[in-house]
Amino acid sequence: MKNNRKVGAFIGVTLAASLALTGCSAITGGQSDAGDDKVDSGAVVVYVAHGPEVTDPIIAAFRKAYPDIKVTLIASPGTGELIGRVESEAANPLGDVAWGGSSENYDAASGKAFASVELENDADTVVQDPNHKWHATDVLFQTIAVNTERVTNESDYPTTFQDLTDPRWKDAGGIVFANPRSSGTSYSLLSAMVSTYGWAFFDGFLPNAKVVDGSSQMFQGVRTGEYAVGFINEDLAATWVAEGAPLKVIYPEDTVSNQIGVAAVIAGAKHTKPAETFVNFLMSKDTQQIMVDEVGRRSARADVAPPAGLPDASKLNLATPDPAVFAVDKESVLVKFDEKLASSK
Amino acid sequence: MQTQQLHERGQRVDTDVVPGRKQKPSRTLRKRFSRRPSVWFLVALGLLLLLSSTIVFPQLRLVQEAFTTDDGAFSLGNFIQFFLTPRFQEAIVNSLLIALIAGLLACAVAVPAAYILAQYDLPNRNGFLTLATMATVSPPFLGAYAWVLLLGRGGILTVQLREWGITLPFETIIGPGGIVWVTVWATQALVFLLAYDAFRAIDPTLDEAAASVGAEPWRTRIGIVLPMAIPALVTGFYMSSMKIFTDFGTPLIIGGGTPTLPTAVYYEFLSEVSTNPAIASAASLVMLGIACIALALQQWVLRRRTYASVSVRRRPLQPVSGAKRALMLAYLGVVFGLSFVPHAVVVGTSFLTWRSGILKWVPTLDNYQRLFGEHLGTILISLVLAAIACVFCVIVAVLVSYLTVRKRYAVISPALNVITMIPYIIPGTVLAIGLILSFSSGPLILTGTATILVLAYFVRRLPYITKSIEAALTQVHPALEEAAMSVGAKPMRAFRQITLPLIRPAVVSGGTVGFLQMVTELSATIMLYSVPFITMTVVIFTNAMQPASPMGVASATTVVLMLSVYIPLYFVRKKFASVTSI
Repeated sequence: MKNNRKVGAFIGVTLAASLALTGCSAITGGQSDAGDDKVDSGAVVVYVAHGPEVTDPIIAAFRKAYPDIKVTLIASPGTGELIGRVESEAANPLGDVAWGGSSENYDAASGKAFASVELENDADTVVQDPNHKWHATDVLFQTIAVNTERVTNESDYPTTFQDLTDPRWKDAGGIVFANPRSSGTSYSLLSAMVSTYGWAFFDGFLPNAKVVDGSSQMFQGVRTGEYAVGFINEDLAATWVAEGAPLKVIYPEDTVSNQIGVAAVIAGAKHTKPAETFVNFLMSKDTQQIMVDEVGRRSARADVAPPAGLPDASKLNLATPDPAVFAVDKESVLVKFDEKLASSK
Repeated sequence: MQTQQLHERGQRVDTDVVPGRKQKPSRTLRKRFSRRPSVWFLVALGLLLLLSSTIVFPQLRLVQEAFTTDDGAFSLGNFIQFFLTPRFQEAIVNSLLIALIAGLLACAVAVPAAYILAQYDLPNRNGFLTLATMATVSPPFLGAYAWVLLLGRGGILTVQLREWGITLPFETIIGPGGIVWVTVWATQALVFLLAYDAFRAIDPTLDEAAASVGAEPWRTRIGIVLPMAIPALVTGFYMSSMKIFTDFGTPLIIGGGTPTLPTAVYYEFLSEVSTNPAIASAASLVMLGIACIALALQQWVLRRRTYASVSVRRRPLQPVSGAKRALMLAYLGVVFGLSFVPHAVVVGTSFLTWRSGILKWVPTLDNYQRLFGEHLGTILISLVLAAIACVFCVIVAVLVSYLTVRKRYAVISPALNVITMIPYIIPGTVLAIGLILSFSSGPLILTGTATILVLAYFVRRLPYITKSIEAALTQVHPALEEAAMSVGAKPMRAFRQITLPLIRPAVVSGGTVGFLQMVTELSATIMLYSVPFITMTVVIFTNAMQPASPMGVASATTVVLMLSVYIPLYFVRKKFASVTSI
């Protein structure tokens, strides 16, 4: 009997606790209806797909510049999940800013997901969204990375994409390439490869390649020596080399694929003005300098120099894939890649 | 005497208990209670309503998307396209093969271990059981990555063994073999716990009866003990192979590009490049279909015979000593040692320096120092939310499994069975999106609250807890309850005071495993959480998100999380599921 009462009491407490929780809605950083429309006070909720190595220095600077705006960061596993969350919350958005991923991801999102806003610092960035939805925060180039412990002879290093079609790579450790279905980085690489050499490129490349799921597997794969050659974003490669990873970073001479890292204001956000302030701040000269100095990424502004050690963009043969082919109907591009992959096995 | 007379007249008696033959409650009892609508029927309806609104309704759009093509018309086109696409064909075959092989291997490893611990008097039993419970949960992320750290091409063990001149039969663990290896050790503990509870519950009089007619111990084991434990073994195989079938994290990290179905489906839903929700939904329904077929098979095996015993005698522990005992302890040691490799690696790496995601062999306490400056309050949130969800889960699980095993209503019971298993199949992220879409507007707004997290935990862990209780319930004979009712107890009272105490070890077992899994849940949490309801796994994740993130802090946070759960768990098990009780 005593036991029953104890169990009953426990269940009662549980029910009470859960009822209380139902009543608690999210406290998104000092929710106050009064301060919503002021530019420099209130709160802003940022959905972010960057790790703390990117967000920590920049958020610290924002807090100094705008001490009255409370920033709340909510992390997402990746850009796909970030946009997935924004789109599924469309009826009642809980976030104000989306930060992370490349411009193509945001172009592909539903038209109602992000707000169209013209911001002050847009004009100083190297590229603008004609629809004013995404705003450039950094620029990423993809490089060929060679694991120096698996490719010991310097003269064997590839210098162009064409070099990667040489059959000797198959037995010399393989080339790791993320499946473009799961990796925006790989999709950029694919666009660059096909724009320069056409689809026939894969007839020589894929037999040498090991296709894995997700960019991280590609990056880690070449760093740990699982594969001899791979592709890594330039800032990550530079960071790893500085930490002593056995990598040689090569900017291909024939074409260099590139992406624009962006941020956007979420449509229907509860704190629109602070959100616009935040996104504008990301593009400001001081913040972009932090991006270069502390995060190690190439700035999206024309008047900020790239990080030390990274080559100037003017010296590189940047890829310019035709949006009509690679942006409009990505599914057919991916299906063609699947066919090439199946026939290479 | 009376029984004999009744038998001569051709009437079956309530106390006729013959293990192996199907039993139904006798006609006299059924007549007595047929006048009132049974309280259990009402419970069944209530549960159906609850589960439909929390599980079926949020995922309805999956069904809707699967059966609609671009022009909005109803069609099977998505399914046809799914089956005709080569990469999905390859993915299905790979996933099924890996799930079956790894499931069988997990059972092959776990069942002897469970038998040894259940049968023989070995020291520190509670310790082993707690270890088994802990082993059902691998630490998020770093868990799967741990094996690559050890046995990848440049892995710690691989390099060391090469230096000592030992060549392994493989160059790297990455590949389909790696998926099988990792998932076997990750799921064997699930099978172990189910099998252990089953072996402990087998009526010892059966063994004695066999011995009294001269059967040797091995004959008894194979002829009596093993068959009587079949519900748990079949359920264990089913749960482990289904878990492996739907696991998308491990193939991602260790598969080396081996196409598997959950990974393919996940990217169709959420790829940053191109999504196709229609195909993804169709594929999810196909996976659900496969799971239902497997469920039907499991139910069929369980219903063919009665595995229940009436006796409540405790099964004695056989003493063992010397070389045999050492061998047994060694086997258990190996099995659990291998299951704990991921945990050990996480602990080890938490004391080493990570620089931009690269592990350095430099010992440090820096990770812990950074951790204590940050978010320790989140442990409390994790534990409280999981505890609330767990209580609800256990209550509903007990009721659902009772309805599935005992009551067997024509439509409601199978419906409940299937609905309960749905969350096992759907990836956590997809489940979360369904919840957001259903509860972000309209009459009930739950997004941004803690309730939606509790709901997600409840829904995700209900399948496992239900199945483990179901397995245990199959071993409790209905005659016990009927005996209570025949002296006037109402059905609910008979259930509470007779059946519940008998399945208590399984309830505690299933409940603690469910609780552990809720505390370490990530994929749904990350899509649903809002400040201030940040759980510990979110903190861990944020520190392990990108290749250059501060992994050291993630390791340290994982260790603190594991400790904060494992230590109370040890004491809970000791009090409520001690082996000195039934």
